[in-house]
Amino acid sequence: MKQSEEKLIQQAQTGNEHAFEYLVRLYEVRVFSYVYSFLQNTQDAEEAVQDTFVKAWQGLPRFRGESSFATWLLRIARNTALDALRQRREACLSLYAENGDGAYEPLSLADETPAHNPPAALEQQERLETLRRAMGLLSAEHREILILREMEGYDYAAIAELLHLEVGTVKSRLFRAREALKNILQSWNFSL
Amino acid sequence: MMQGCSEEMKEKISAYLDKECTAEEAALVESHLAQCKDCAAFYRQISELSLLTGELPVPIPKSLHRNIMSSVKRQNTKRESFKKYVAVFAASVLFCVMLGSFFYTDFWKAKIPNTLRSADAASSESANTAQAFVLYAVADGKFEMGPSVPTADVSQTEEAVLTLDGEVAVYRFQGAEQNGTALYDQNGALWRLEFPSVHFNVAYGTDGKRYLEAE
Repeated sequence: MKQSEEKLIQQAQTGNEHAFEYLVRLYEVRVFSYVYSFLQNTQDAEEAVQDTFVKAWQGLPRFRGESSFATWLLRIARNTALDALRQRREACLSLYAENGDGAYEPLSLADETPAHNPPAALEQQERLETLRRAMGLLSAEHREILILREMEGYDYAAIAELLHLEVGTVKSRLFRAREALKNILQSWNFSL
Repeated sequence: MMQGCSEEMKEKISAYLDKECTAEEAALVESHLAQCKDCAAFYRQISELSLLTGELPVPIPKSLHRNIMSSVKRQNTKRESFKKYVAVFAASVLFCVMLGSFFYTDFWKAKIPNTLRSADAASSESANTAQAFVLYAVADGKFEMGPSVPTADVSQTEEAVLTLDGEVAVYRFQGAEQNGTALYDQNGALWRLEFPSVHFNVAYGTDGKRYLEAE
């Protein structure tokens, strides 16, 4: 844990709202990405992220640093997202991600419109859109582990800690998730 | 694809991509990839997927940060309100306890006329508002007002029956009967009985029982 982050956590634990807001800034995108991988819906994900940080704020005095702050926070996010999924009762049956309602803009493709994109960028955007649809077809379990590894950059030990799994299970699940994703894309003639 | 290659090898290749192999396993994977075209293709494919997945756009809401902090502040407000509520509740309880202890005696004074510890039901039936109580002499000039059925904790050396009907009081004692007046305080609690030959003042013992003191 970085020194400055540790200090922020200590200050937030004493009720310093400004310190907590810095922590929110540090982790909000990561938490949102993770929660979004479960819910595949921006509105539901945003509500779950809000709940996550409220719970974190309430539970912060009890945080003892036994795991990293990020792991602790993502665990809260995971439980919150799973609760939301249970409520929705369509958890693993959610086949397609939403198409967007215009109220939000993509993180890495913000302000880009096809008209201003060179052909290569447009092609890349299409490939990413196809990949996103394929991710939506994966089981929640496979989608989650891919997000943790590929988007959050977690190593196997961190994933194992977060998901309460053996490292060997992380290894095999990740392999299966990759193979499942590859098979879906290949069935769509997606070139790899 | 990858026919003949075990899943164990594929897992190792996947782990190799993530740099999660031991040096020995990495050497084994590299050696295998150099020999197996299918597995080499698998490795290229999952490498490409890994890169692409890392670039997947996530539709971060513009209002995300603001909404998170609004929720946190709302929670703080709720928590503060709850603390205030608890404080007010605690203060109210304390106030009630103090008030209760201050008026404890008066409270029972007001209550006893209506309940009067099992008033004589048979006598009560004689009039709608009438109440009858058996008086047990417990000391010189003192009578306890109690149930008509004697209980073990009440002395029965002498018995009289008092019937109350509003301000009209009837006192029967040893076959004689006297009509008198019942006086009530502003709380409606009986405090004095006046008969031609005897007056009673209502007194309350530390045991919570009511006694009539004969003048």
